[in-house]
Amino acid sequence: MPSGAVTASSVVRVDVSDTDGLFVPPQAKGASSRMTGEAVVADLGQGRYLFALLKGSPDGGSGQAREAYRDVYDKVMRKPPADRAFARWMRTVIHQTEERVLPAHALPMLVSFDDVSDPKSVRLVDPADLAASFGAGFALQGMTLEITRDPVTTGVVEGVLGWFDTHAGYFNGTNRLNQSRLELNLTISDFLKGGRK
Amino acid sequence: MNISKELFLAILSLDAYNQGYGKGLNHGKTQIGGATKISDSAILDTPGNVGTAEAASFYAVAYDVTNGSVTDLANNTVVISYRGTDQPSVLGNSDIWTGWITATGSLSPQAKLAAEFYQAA
Repeated sequence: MPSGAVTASSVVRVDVSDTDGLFVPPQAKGASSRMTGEAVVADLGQGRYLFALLKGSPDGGSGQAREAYRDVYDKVMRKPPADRAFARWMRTVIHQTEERVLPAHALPMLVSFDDVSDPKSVRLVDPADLAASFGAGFALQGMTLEITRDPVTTGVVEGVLGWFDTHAGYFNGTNRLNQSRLELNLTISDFLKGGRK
Repeated sequence: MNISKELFLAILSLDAYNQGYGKGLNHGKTQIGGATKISDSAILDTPGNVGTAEAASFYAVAYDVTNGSVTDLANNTVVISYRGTDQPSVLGNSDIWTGWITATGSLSPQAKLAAEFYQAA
């Protein structure tokens, strides 16, 4: 049984590059984003950890921001010109200060490890059924997203996953995707992006 | 009906832009016709250099063509698709500095990553 409510958070940084101009080939035009930071790690006690990864439904961090601020996004995207809409959205969302609840369809991928010392023991966690992974009484109360100027979180993931420094390839221990257990296809870049500070 | 090798390779070339980070279309597929995605350049990440490929505007994906549905491609042929130019700015880590300089004889970050992925995949 859990001993009480657990909260955890992580701050990631998103840099946006906006490529446009007379000499830019059409296929290269547009805005793109790059994330720096690490997964959220919730310590549930007794050696159990819940990780909210830097990937997930519908399309990672940018999709989560879009869905959390969906009303703002829809308003921005309706304005012409359409080919500048994403850049316009990026310039708009950074000014949002209100904390938003992530809708169920936009949650990051959740995983845990049967044994945190073994990457192959990674397991998917159903956000609607934490009890199935951690035991009776565990449940996800909610996840929120907020635009902040706080410093990027570092070192928490590596502090829990002792093998992180030496791991390479997929968590299945090879350089080939496992077609049956998708969580074994995670790499360290699903937990950490942009390198160490 | 078999598909031609040239057409199928062109499709896999396009698909490199729809896999991995910064994908154009989020189709979520690992099966493209007779090809199965088996690896991508995320395997090059280590904690010391995580995101190196992304920082160099590099992405590659490997497929295994398994079912013999492509003319002139044998079963279990591994096809690697490398993304082309998508960051042509003269500023920052653009393709000009991380890729195009290969033409001058320099070992650019993208050329190094391409070789590393070829060996790893």
